[in-house]
Amino acid sequence: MKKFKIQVTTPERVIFEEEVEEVTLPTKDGEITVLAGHVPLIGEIIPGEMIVKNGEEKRITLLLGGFVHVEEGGKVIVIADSAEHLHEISEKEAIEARKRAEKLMQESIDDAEGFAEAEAELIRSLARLKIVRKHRSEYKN
Amino acid sequence: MASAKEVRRRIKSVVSTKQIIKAMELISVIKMQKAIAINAASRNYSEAAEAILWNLVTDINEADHPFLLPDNEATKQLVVIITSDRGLCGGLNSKAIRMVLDLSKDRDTDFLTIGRKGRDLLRVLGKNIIADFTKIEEKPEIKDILPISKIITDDFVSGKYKGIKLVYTHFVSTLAQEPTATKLLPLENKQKSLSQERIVFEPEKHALLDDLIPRLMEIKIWQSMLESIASEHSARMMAMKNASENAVELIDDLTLAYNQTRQATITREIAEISAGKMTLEG
Repeated sequence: MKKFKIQVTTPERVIFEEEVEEVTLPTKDGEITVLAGHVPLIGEIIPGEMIVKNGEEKRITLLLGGFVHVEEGGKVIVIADSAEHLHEISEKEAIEARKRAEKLMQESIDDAEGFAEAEAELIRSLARLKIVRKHRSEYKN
Repeated sequence: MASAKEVRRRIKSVVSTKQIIKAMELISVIKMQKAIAINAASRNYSEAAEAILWNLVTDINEADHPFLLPDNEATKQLVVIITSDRGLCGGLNSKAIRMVLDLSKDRDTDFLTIGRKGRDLLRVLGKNIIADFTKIEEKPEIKDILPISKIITDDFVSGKYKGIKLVYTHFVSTLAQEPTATKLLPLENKQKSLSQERIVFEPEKHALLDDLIPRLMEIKIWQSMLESIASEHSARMMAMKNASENAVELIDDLTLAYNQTRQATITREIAEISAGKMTLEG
């Protein structure tokens, strides 16, 4: 299959830069899968998993919101608010993060801005947990 | 000529000043290295965001979103200026402020200041500052920019300003920092040829722009702050290095003056003694 370039970058680092055959991204309107030669696209990414495929090989990265840009030449650029490779996420930490976010939401129930931030944090930790649980078997390897 | 005692006191004072300068230089070196590393890491992200913006404006027009539509009724402009909180960094802040004053010449302008130095100076000049943000951290995060970008986007959409500009100091290298002015809003439509493939928007255009444009503004301001911080520490390091070299020169000069004064005293004393001896023998 024809390959195309994808780059995932966060404010801190370039987390992913490779030639791949296929990538699936979580966008606001549902999942989209990009193959080589895709039409130019700008989309909003919601917290979820990015699946990159190269033949049989399949790799998963957690994206915590951001935007995707498919350029005219077919290069895919993701600017993510934050991103983590599957092997970097620990389930224990994810559970704790969820608890923290839930507590924060309770506490900031009267404060609109704080509540929105806590809610965003909760959505992120849920996305993290979902991915870890879904791929637990691979994760243990 | 100053007395030897006085010169010695001056040498002592210059030496202790030099030690302070040296310490400040070393601190600046460390802070500069950190700031440069953060800045280098974020540039890639900001450039990717900038690329989205550039592609975006080829495929949207003024009717698509208020961010593209300048309010023709409004005459005022807003200038956002990023300076440092602390001084002793050469001409860094004054250069940025001079640029801001040039931009606002003969135009009704409001200011939004990030950093204490810019705020203090514009206040002295009697300019209208609508908001100021100080206590810039070493490593600002994008979420710290939220209140700033909110003011900017809200005020623009409500029609308060015709345009919004940003002035910051671009970090070129340790030796060179350039004050830079860029336009934040309205976004300019740079329509390319129509043969270009249309961009697919997901979700649909207006909803996407609602989220995307404020985000791109945040990234732009955030990157400009990182540039300014890296510039500040570089400029301070250079200023301290020069001051330190000047201090060494001054100490050399003073030491020479001290030795001359001392030698003159000794010569005079010997002359007096030998004169006295000659009188006695005479």
